[in-house]
Amino acid sequence: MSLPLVTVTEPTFSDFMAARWAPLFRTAYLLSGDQHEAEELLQSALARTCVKWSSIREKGAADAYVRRAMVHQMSSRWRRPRRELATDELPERGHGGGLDVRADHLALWEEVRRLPPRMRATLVLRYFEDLTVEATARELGTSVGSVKSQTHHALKRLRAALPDLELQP
Amino acid sequence: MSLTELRESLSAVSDAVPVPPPDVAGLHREVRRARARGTATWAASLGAAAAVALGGSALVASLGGSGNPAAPADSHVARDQDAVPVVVDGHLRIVDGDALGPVGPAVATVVGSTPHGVVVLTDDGTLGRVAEPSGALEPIVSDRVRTAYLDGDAVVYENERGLIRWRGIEPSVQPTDSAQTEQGRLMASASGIAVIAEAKGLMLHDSAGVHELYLDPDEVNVIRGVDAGAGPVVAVRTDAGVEVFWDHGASGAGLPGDRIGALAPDGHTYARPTEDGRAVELLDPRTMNATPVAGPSGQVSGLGWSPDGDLLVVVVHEGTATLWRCGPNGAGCAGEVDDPTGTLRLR
Repeated sequence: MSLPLVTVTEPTFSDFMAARWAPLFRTAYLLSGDQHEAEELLQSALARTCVKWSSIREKGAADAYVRRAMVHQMSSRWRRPRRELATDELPERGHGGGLDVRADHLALWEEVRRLPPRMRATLVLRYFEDLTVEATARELGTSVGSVKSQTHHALKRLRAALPDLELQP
Repeated sequence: MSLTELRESLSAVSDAVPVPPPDVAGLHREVRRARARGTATWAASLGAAAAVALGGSALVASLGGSGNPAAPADSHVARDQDAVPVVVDGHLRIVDGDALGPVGPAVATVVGSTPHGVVVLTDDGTLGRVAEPSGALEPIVSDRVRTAYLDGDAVVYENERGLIRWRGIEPSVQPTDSAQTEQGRLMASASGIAVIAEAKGLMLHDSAGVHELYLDPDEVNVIRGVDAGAGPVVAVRTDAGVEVFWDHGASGAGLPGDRIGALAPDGHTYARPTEDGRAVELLDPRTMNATPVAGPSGQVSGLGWSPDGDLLVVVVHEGTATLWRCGPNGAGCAGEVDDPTGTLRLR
């Protein structure tokens, strides 16, 4: 890669990708619940981000741009009948068994994976990315009320699936 | 386990997942494809899980239903798909084609059209039907009625004692199904569902059971109206905006803005005025895609859908109300009739 002739303060897209690939992949995995799908999702979102890179004024907010691109792309897939059918097919239990995590974390993750994609995305943005309700609504392109509603129903489902756990809002 | 532990679980899983190296060649291919697609739009990014359609239109389980009594075969007035019941100056009128029919009985609310006449509610709580455009009001029930909705050709109503009843509108058919709610108010009914505001929240009753339609108490103070459509899809208009629910209330979308609006009977389209209130747009709640409706202009005072799925718009311009009728997709709008009193309304 040739160096630029003038000093620039803003990171290039390549810099951004090198620095943020791993954390964004982890988010993509939590959003999609699948390694291969996560890779495709992130790659596609990064490609779109690359095309738009010059118009992204706040490069520090590029993570949010990529996340929004991933959520948008997933929402398009959810709307397609093929994906709608697929969301009804619950992931097989034990899929995450290859991950080296504690059994209770794994049990909870398996139930999170079984949530409808939009609910899962809401939980991931709120409790993994630690976004506020308002920021989550912006990234999902929905209202604050919807985010609260999705969170409420997601936690309700997790409580129903794992009655021994005491998830309190 | 607390939310902290949910955070820890997500964090532990994300730390444990093996991260593959970036596929740079693949990324270049994607970039070329993205450029070829031109400028992508990222503004609308609302997704939704699959809506779960209910089979048939079974009677609401919680109302103790035993089925919809067959509509009488000898009904003497067939529903005219083009006729639209409206209220002008407090009286029922039928708009047929581009003519405003003769003055009918005094009514408070038009409940809807059925093959057996127009079902209306009067100021004194009489639930009745009007079989002829200028005909008299025939009471359907002896109860005094607070609210009523059509579910196909049956009517679901709440009487003055809070009893929610269901029955066919043909007077010879006796009510057989009823349910007493605890301080509940019937908010909407259609397509085999009922939405009831109860002490524990706004509840959707359908053949699969009872489901909460969650409204954030921090955001919502007032429910202004509830529409129910096929799917079932329920649109709840509040002082904070419109919440549209599907998937038995588990999925939904929010449309900001305190405006009037109406959910299409098919549950796929929500009609509402544009932000300035002087035109109409159709929204797909699942995608937030908005389609402007060309034609009606002026202060939008009413929105509704005909039983056959046409969009109805009332606009007031210089004191005259005009009823517009458009296709289900908002196309082909035409002004049907002008009301110089400016009082014409759809319900």
